[in-house]
Amino acid sequence: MMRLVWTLLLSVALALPAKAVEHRLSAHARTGLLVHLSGSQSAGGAGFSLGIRDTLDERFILGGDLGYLFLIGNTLSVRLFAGVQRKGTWTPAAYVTGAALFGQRLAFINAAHPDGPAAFPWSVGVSFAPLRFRGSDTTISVLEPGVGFAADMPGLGLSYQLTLLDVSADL
Amino acid sequence: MRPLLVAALLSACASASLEDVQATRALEVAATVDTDQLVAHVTELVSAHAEDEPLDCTVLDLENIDQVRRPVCHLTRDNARQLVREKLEALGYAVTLQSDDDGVFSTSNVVAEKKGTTHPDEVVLVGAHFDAFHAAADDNSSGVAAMLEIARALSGRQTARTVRFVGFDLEEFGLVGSTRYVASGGARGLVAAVVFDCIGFSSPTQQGLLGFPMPEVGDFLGVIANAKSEQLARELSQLASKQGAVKTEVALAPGTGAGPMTGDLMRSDHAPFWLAGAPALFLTDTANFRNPHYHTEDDHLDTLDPDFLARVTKLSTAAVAYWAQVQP
Repeated sequence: MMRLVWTLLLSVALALPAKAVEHRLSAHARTGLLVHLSGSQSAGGAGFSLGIRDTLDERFILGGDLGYLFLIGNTLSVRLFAGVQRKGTWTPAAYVTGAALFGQRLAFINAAHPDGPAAFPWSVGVSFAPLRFRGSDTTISVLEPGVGFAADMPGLGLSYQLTLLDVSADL
Repeated sequence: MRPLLVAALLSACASASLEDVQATRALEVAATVDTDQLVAHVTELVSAHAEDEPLDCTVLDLENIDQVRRPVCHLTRDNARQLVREKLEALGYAVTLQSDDDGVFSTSNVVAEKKGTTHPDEVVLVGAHFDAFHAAADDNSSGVAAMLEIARALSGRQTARTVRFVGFDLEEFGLVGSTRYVASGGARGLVAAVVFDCIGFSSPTQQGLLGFPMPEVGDFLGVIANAKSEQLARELSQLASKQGAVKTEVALAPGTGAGPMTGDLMRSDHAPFWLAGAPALFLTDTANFRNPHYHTEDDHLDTLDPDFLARVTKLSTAAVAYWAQVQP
């Protein structure tokens, strides 16, 4: 999964023009839901995360965050994302995301998974930020839905994400 | 360094798989489970409930209780308790009552025990609640019948560990009997506990629950464990594969099992054991997620699947015999 995310990040970087790239680093705090469901495990829940992002030429976004989730046990979330945004005050964005959850989970042992989950829950997917606005040095976004997929061999894992509020401040 | 690594690998392998000789003995004991005996137990228990007087429910806050979901004015227990006691005594067990009273409801759990030969301080507990709403065939005469049949299967055999059978009182009013049992020190020395609640109903359909993947056909036994009882669940699952009697679907709740999204996994008498840090498994046909007669007047014997009940009891007997280290 990490290889795929880094490939995506690299693709975004290579797509940038050759001229000097303008970077704007910001720190963000996010709260919402991230749940991974599959035939062998359920994990995640509600919580918050903190991270950093780099906005390149006010167009492309690279970032990551670490978070804590509860409801189905206590879980650490790690999320990397690459995206593109509209310039201006209203800055809706679309992201490709990679997320992994570590810690407690609800695990299932059955005929398809006689030993339980083979690995920690992870997913690669997309998310959207249609209600995202830029102020002088802050960006606020509400209600960002997202969905992700993972090969939870055998079977498919699905992750559902809903960021309720994301606030970032320029560094 | 290399011998240490090899030893560690061997140790890891040993802890992950069943001990073959013990498993073979356990499966031999399980083969003695008798479907007719199980049906006879359920029949007598259902009759005992039918002939009993419901508990006085007027002391409860009836206006704030959903009496369709929890028909608290139709709970019976005294005749069933007496029947369980008599049946365990008839099998040769020393039976005691663990009684408590908070001034509102008294409880008397039925406790029968057979001391282990070499590890008497290590206890394997088999439990099921005998109080019930309405007709009570699946909930929980099926569970009590399984407990009695395991008691019969083990009655003539020596076990290295102590085996204890507990009929819990007043589960339906909020795990009252089992909570009081654990509070009285009942979880002391416990190495394994199996709690039955609704294990006799099978169905061509199965209702699911978000976050809990389940097969579409309700012909499996739900095995619910927490972190402390994960190893027991894995061993039960391996015994099920070896025995081939019944399909199992194991859910392993994180931590103690007490979480905002795992409340449905705490709905029976294993929960007080979990909260006390004792290893306990909850075995169920998933009750209202499968059985439309759950907590209704229609929970009759003729709605049960005796073959399914027998297969569940065979697996449970094998597990109890395995953990109790039944002797040749």
